[in-house]
Amino acid sequence: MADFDNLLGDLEEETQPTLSPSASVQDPDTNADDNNEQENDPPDAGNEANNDELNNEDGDIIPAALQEALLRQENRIYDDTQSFTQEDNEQEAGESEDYRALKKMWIHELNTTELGNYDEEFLNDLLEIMQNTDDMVEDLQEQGRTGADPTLASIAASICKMDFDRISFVLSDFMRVRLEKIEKYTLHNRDCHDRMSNMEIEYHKKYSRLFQSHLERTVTDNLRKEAWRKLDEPEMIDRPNLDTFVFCKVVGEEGIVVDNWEGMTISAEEEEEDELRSQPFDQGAHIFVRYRVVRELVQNGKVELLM
Amino acid sequence: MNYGQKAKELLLDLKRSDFIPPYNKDTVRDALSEISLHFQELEDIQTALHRANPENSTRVRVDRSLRPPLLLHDAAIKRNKRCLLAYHVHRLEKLKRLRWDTTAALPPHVKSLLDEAEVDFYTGYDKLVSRFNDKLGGGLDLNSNVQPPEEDLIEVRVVKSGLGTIVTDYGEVSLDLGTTHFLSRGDVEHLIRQGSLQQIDGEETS
Repeated sequence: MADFDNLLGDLEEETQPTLSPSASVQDPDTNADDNNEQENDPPDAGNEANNDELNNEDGDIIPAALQEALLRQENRIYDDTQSFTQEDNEQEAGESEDYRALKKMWIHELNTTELGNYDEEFLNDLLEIMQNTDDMVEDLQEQGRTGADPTLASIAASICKMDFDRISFVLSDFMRVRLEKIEKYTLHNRDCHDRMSNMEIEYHKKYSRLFQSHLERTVTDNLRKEAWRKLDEPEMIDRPNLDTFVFCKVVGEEGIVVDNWEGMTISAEEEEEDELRSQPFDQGAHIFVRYRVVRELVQNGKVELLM
Repeated sequence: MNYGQKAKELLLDLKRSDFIPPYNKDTVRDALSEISLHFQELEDIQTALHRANPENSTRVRVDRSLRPPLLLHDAAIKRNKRCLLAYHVHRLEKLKRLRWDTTAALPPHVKSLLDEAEVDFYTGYDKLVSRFNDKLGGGLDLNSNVQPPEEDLIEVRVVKSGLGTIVTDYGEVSLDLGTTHFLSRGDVEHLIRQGSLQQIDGEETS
């Protein structure tokens, strides 16, 4: 299992100005130069000292590409925190949080094969907000044509519309992905009604009835014995594959401990030899792992899936 | 008898076509009759066993030599059933994809490829999805916004004739063949998906 943070973690222990590229690596050096020039000017003076350092060729064990990745990571963190505070200041207080929560749910659905939990309240609220925004956009457009200050109203209308489109895309894609999963694993989802909204449950029932009656009509009704007419024997049900690999990030404060062998059967002698069975990870670690291993942690919110 | 050859033909048919081949009712019927043949064989064996043990009709002891045919016929029936189900399910998946891509009624050239059961399925599915869409509320339409929205207004060119006029927020626009327009994305998205309009790439996106 790869732990990307630790790769750069060793580098972080050394202080900034002492980072220097290896003398033998010529090409990454020139690339590093170009990349550093193309980036936005980091306001941190320490970074400029680094640029100079990169030009030096004091041979060292750290290759230039890794070091440059570290720089970029730090720049990005800085940029993220900047835009983060700006976002909060400019928009109204609940809006960006809602959007972020929605985005998290959406990314979660995209990365798993099984149906995720459905937060009924949150999504109903969001749908209401969307309806209000839609009405507001129409009002503004109306004002844009006939009202007192048409240009301002139409600009406001188009900004609102952009925002509305953005949220509505995420929301519709979220719904579509869920519907797709409901249809794909119809028989398996008969047990998963607790993760669906009421509308989805109704959809699922109607869809299963439609699907089943079609298959009965074309195939199984022509078979003689009752036993062969069954469409839902255990080996005929498609279950979602929980062994797909996912990228995730640890957000729980105390970190987590992961059992690598979740769902696998290992012989006794292999079990003795493997020391990597339970691996602890700190908060903020990024890991790449089978979904089954982190499934419960994801459901508790301690681990978050990434795109 | 050929074990599963007809079913194999059905599946090969599916594999050879891009969308779906015309519904092969004859081969399906042949596969189903194969299943009946196997079933017939099984019944024959069963009556033979009953005749051999007339007193012991409740618990028939199966002679070792008679077990293989039973297993074989059962396996053949299951295999045929699986292939038939796969054939039908695959066609249904294609129909569903068609519905999500175009959201239109069945075009006639597709309808000619389908069995009547499949036509019924399509109409039922269409109704199901449309009703879900309507009840969703919030101004959402599951059939629009399929790609992440990049810009608000896009430039399109009309490539099919006979589209008439559409009403946008900026007034009526008549879509004559060969004309280009600069319209908001939401109004024209479904037409682009159908192929009646073609999006002209700007300098940034080419």
